[in-house]
Amino acid sequence: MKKIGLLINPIAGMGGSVGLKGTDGNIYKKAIKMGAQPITPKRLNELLLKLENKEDIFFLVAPGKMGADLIKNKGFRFNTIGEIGKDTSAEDTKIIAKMMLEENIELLIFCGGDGTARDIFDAIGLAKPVVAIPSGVKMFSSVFALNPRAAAEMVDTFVKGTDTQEKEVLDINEDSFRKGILDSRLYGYLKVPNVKRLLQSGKIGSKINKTAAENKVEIADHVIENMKDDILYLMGPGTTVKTITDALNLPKTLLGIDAIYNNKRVGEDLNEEGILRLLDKYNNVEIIVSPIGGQGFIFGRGNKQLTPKIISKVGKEKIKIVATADKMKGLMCLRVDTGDIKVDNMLKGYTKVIIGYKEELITQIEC
Amino acid sequence: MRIRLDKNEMFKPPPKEIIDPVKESIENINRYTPQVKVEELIGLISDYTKVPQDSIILSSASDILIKEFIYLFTRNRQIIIADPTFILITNTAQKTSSPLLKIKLREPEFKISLEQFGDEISKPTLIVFDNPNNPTGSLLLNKKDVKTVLENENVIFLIDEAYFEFSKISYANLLNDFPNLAILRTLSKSFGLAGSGIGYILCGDAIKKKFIGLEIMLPYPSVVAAINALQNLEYMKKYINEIEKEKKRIITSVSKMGIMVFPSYTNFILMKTGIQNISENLVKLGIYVHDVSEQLGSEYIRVTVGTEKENDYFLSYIEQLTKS
Repeated sequence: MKKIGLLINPIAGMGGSVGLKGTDGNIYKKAIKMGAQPITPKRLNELLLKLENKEDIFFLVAPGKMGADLIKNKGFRFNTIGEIGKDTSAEDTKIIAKMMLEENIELLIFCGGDGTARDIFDAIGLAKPVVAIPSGVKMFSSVFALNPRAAAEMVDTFVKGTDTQEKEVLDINEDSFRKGILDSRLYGYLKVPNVKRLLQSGKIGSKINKTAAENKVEIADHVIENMKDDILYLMGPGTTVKTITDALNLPKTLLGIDAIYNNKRVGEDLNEEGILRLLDKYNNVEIIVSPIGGQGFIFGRGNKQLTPKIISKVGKEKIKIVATADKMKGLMCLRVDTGDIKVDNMLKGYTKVIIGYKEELITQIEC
Repeated sequence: MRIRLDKNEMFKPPPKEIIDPVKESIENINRYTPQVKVEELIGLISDYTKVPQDSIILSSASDILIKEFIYLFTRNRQIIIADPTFILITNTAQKTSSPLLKIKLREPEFKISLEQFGDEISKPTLIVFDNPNNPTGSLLLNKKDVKTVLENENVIFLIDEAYFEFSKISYANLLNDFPNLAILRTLSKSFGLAGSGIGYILCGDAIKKKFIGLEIMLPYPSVVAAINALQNLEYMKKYINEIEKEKKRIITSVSKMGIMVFPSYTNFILMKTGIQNISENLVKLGIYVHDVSEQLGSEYIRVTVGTEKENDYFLSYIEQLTKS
């Protein structure tokens, strides 16, 4: 029997149908006035109908419209946890998720968009895995399942037993988004069940099926083997890059830029000014970055500290890109949006991405 | 009903002219394969390919030849392969200690341009491409580009032409000019001899010398099957015509369903269905297609062209899935 938390953001997605591009803050009230209808009940229902292992699940559910109202009378065993008022808020999400964690849930299912994912990250971090039912207006974070049916499959797989992998939570600036500008930064990571596809036995049969964690270790081995003395390495955000510093036994700011030199960290969570100071001091510099999420941006999303000025100074040939093979499979190309078209054009063209130990992929950088 | 459209096999057994001698050969299963029969087979391959007998390496299945080739020619060389490619090529390349460079194929063309190589082919390199490519069905490089690559003496280039009889595109006529070229063929696909496993390499002396000492005894029934297949080419040609006809019909039908299909020079079709985990959904209906989720994503499938009845069955269920 698995104890699984269930939490719904009842207003998620309501801004979409009325063209409001999100319901962060108090925008949802405007959405309601404009006639927006809740969409999360339908999304949750799709998941509940598809769940195959309902006998093996005991739900711990947020109260009222945040969960309990939507699951009752559907044949599931559950208890309610927490309290909410008439209007719900991000704080309710965070408080109830923390309470669920204290009650030792093994998995948390939540329904919402990028904003909800950020609240869940704030509340539970990497403590427990999550399954995210996509129902927001903005869902740029790769933590979300493809649809409620896929989310149900992830829950079933988790109940039967599976490992987990870390997926990105992005912070999209909603004001900019309404103006048609995609301004995102990497906010954090949540763990999700690693749903391995059921593979048919083919003629060869032996598909090399590495986990993302194993793949990252291979990448780290390759990068470290090729690291040289007297070079300053600017280490970009993300877990793939962090695996490299972990292997070097060095601390790393997960979402920021750190600098290492001769096996020592010489810069921590650097901004542009801090990086430029280091560039004045060190002659040989390399940048190690990983593409963000499903969009494939290597510059301009999640690492804006690496400004066009810095990228130009370091040079294209000194940029090392690392990414798991699985992440690259989903990317038609890599992208850059540094804010300077000349630098974007300089970066365009074919490049090599380190995807394993002694394994690289030649792919294209487009703008 | 259970149908297999996952292994690019011929959908029916070869004709009586091939099966009967194989049955007779079983009577002599206590004996090693007579050398004279092996030589007869090499002679027939030479006639079929228009390549001299001493430029042919014969082996039990092209899978073994791919592995041997990669292991023999990666010492102090990097390997370049396409991504995706025939999974055996990837798996074998990953098992060597040589640096591996994969060239990402982008849909919808799934082609390789010389620009993608950069200056990599000026270094000692083994290139292994399947042309047509599996699982995309595309032709990766044109003849002019193949020649440009081969002009780099540091390069050894193995081209897997397993589906040559379907594509009718071969670079075997470049063998005289380029000793660094090798062509791999099989009788498993268009000749319908998947179960007998006969493959061969066409190459010059320098490459062939490396295989000395690696010769293996081919099973007698397999040799008999191959000899009779090459003496009865008409059934193979007829099969290819049937495939082409059915391939067109499948492409037309699935395109109307909103499924994206890619040009195929083989006996299979790559489809982008827009349905996640499509392969698993089809297995539940008894339809086995090749799952390419590891290589391209779970909405893609590689479907072997089957019999008219099998294809109808596949089409009816894929249509249901697209509607649901």
